[in-house]
This record gives sequence, structure tokens and C-alpha cells, in this order.
Amino acid sequence: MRGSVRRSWLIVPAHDNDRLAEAASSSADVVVLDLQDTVHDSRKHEARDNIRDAISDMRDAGSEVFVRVDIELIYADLVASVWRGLTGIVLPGVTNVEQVMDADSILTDLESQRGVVKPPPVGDVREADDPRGPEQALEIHLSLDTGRGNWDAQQLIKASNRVKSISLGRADLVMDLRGEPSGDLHQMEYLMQRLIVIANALNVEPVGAWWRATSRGLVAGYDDTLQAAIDGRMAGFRGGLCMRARQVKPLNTGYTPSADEVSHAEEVITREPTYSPMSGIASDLIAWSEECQNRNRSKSIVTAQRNQ
Amino acid sequence: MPRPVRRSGLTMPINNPRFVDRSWTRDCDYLNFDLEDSVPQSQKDYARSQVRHAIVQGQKGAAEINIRINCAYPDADVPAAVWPGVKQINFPKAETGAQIRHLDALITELERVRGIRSGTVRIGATVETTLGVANSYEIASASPRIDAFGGGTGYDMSMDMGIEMFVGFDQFVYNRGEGELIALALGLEREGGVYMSDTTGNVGNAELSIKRAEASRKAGLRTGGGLHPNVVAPQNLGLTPTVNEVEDAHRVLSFFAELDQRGETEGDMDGRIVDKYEAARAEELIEWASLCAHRDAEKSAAREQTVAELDEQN
Repeated sequence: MRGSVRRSWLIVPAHDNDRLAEAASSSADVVVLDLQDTVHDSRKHEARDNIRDAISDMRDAGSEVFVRVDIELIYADLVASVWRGLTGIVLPGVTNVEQVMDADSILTDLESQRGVVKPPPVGDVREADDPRGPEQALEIHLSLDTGRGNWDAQQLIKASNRVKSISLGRADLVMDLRGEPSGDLHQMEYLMQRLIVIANALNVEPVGAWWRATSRGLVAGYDDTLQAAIDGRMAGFRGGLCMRARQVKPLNTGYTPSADEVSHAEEVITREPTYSPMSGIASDLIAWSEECQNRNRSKSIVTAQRNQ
Repeated sequence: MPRPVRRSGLTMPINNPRFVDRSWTRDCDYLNFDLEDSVPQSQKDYARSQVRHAIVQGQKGAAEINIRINCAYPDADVPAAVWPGVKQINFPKAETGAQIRHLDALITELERVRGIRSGTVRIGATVETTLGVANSYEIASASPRIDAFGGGTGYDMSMDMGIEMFVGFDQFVYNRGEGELIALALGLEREGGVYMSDTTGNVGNAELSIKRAEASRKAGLRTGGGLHPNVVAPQNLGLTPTVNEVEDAHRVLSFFAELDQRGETEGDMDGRIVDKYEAARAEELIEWASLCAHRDAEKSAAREQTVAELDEQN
């Protein structure tokens, strides 16, 4: 399936003003304001207090904004998060359908009470408060980081129409899947492929990158992140999560087809008949490349407006 | 119940006294006395009569006693297999949840009649056919007696799939992934090991066993087992955390406690990130190392006592 261009999802601790400032200049397609793992219990209030302004700052910086909530503190986290400019929430640690339905129901109430709808794509001139249609419901991204969550992925996705994307989140850490001598993380190839198959079967976006044991994924350096993004795109992911601003550029680069790939695709299209699968794949790649360029342009327009 | 330590275990024909009577000397965490594939049809009745003798022999070395029965006739095998001292009934070629539920009912009744605490005899369900792989979740969740599960691999799986074994790459990626994911989903111990290329099929390859066991330990796996005495020591060693790993785990925990006190969730310790996940891993490793040490001491004490008793008799 094709949705928004979301090549890089940068997770930022919502209590940390330096990291928030860094995120605002990172060029991330998506900034995920975190209220979960990276925020100590003693600082949750501080983090929640920051959310409303941070949503606005990140939108002004050309990023879509999600909030990662703590499933055990979901009500308080959502009350702090559902404000104009928010695109959706990331739900980690989900293990049953009721949790997804509960999140959906709280979002519905808050949308109604606060008149909040999902904003239009970054750079789009459409007013955010147009009459509400199903496409304007805030999204849910399921971070399937537990064994139970992965096994029941299909039921969890079907539990709410708001679920538009899924990832393994930090499954290697949550499920304690460690490195093998081959350099791969134990069982991660299987889990990544399984996630991609299920996402495509149910028409939601698979988010992730082909991380290896040697790189410690979400905090990896430039080269490892670039490779994970390139491999991830080849495997069927549409964008990856990261936890360091320095990873945004390699994710955006790796998830954007290179000039060589685009020119090769153009050659294929001229050579192959239109009904050939190769032609279809090439045409998808060109379309994706154009969407990526459009996304970059809209980001530039928004940031230029901000700087005026 | 404490987490069982099952780093090493030998499967052996229960009708062969040469194997059974020396089983206690092998330093196995568990012994899997077989009524199934390694016993010819003509010897099945005799094999069933040998269970109580095998229990006594195995316990001389404090090994946990498992009995592998035949999937085709549990009603004949289970009454012969469930006796005080038996910790687990292994059910090979499991294909449906109904088979496991039937086995559970048979064991429940025998526990009652033979004065064994209810629910203490575990079931080891082994998937070795494609139908079993397809029904893995149903099988693994069919009884609370199942505390460990893994994906279908091995000789019977190969035969069922009509493929050669020992071809130099992992033919069972899907089976392993499915089995381990189910174990994780159900909160069971993950069985199986890290795949390592083996084109010989030599079941007594100690060198490969130590490599595989170490890789499995580092990948987070904790169980082993085999067919040849040569692999027992490598598995005991390879699946036990090293002294350095335990020391490192203690440092990680101290570092994380300091972070936590400062209201921080992650920090850099000698160039690596420590967070709650690393702390949880460290805690698990320390606990596992302690269980392994306790198990080793138990086995060693039992063997010493047996040797002393034998010396006295002689």
C-alpha cells in the first residue's frame, strides 16, 4: 500500500528540551514525541506538559507528529497528547485487542471534545479543520514488540480502523533477541518478513529497517543506518524508526530511491511491455521517488515559511 | 517452580542396559529414556517394563528424568511411563492439540493414582511434521504442563518434508521462527539452538557443539540436548554464562541503578548503551548463572554419593 512518505520516524523524549530542539531541525518525516521508555517515571508530568507546544513546533519544522504513549498510562498520556497538529499515536507493548479498542475509544472522545482531526499532509494548504471524514481520524501505529503482539498481529490491526502502520518497535530488546555469529539478530529476519507480509495483506504500512546485531538498531551510526534503510526498503519496509537525530539523514536517503535506481527503472519501462511485473515494479519505484521529492519540497516550503 | 536447567540431555533407548546403566555418569541435566524410535517394535513391551529401573539409574547422577513415548499409542505407553521421579513425558511428532489434551488427561489420572503431586509431570511436545508445524500454536497451548516449545527440525521433520538434511544452510527458518514466536507469545522457554552449518551429521561432534551452545547462549537461548555423550560437556559449558559475563552483568545493574536514581532512562557505559532492557538482560543472566551453578552442584553431589556407595558395596 502507499500512504504518506514517512521514511524516518525519530523518537524523542518529550521531557528533554535539547533533544526536542534537535528534532525540530532534523528533517525527520515523522517526529515521535515519547512519553514511554525514554521518559523516567519521575519526569512523566514534565514530558506531558511539553507535548502541546512540541506538536506545534515539529509541525512548523515540516514533520508529521506522533506521540508514543505508555500502554499502562494511556488515558493520562492521550489527554496530554490529543491536540491540533497531532497525526497519530504509537502504541507499544500491545498484547490484546481490548487495548487497541480502548485507545481508539479514548481518541474518539478527545477528538470530539477538542475538535481535533488529523492534519493534512505537511505543506498542504487544506485547512486542518475541514469537516471530519474517516481519513481525518487520528492514526494508531502499532509497535509490535512482544511475542503475543506479533503472534496476534492480524487481530490487533483489525481491532481499529485507525491502525495505518505497524512496526516491530524495539522487539529485539523487549523480546530479548540477541546477536548470532552471522551478525543477524536471532529470529529477526523471520519476524521482519512476517510483519511485512501481514502489513501488506491487511493494507497497512510496514515500518522498520533491516537492523543487524552489530549496529544496535535505533541508535546506530550513519553507515549502519543507511545500510539498514536500503536493505529495509528492498525487503518491503516503507520507513524506519530511530532514536538519534543523526540517523534521520541516512534513513531519508536510504528510503529514497537513488538516481541510478530511478534511471534504471526508466530504462526498464522503455524496454519491457507494460504488463510485465518488472515494468510495474519500475513504475512503482519512480512514483515513490517522486513522492519522496515532493515530501522534501513540502518540508522546505514549511520551514521557509517558519523562518520568514 | 524455579526455572528448570536443561542445558544437556541424552536421548537413549531404554531397552539397552549398556546405555541406561551408565547414564548417571554422563553429567546430563536431563535424560530422555526412549520408548519410541530407538526401540524396535518387538522390544516395546520390554522397554515399557524398564522405566522404573531407568529412573533409579538416572537419578544416581541427579539428572531430571524424561520418558519419550510413542505418539501412536499413548494409552499403552503413558501408564508405563508416569512414575514418581519422572519429571516430563516427551510426546514426539505432535500434530494436534487433541493429542496433547488426551496425554494430559492420562497423566492427571496417573498422578492421582500413584501419589504424584498434581500438575508436576510436564509434557514436552515435539513438532516433527508439517502438520505439526501448521498446528504449532494449538499444540503448545493445549496443556499447562508444557513449559517449553520450539520449532520443528531434525530427522523426522526432514523426512516429512522430503528433503535431505545437513545441506549446509538452514532449511527450517520458518519452523524455527514460528516455534520460537509461539513460545514467546505463550511465555514458554524457547527450545532450539542457533543454526550452524553442518554437512556431516556427526552427532558426536564436540567442537561444533560448543560453538553452537555458545552462540545459542549469547543469542539468549538456554536449552540443549543430543544423542551422543560427546556433546554433553560442551553443552553444559557453552550454555552456562562465563565468569566475565556475570561480572559484567553486575556492573550493568549497578550502572542502571545509578541512572534510575538520577531520573534517567539510559546512559553510556564504556561505549555501550545501558537501559532497562540491558538491565533486564543482566538480571536474567545472573539468575541463570546461579541456577546453572546450583544444578552443577546437585549433579556433582549425587555422583559423588553414588560412587561412595558403590565403593562401599565393593
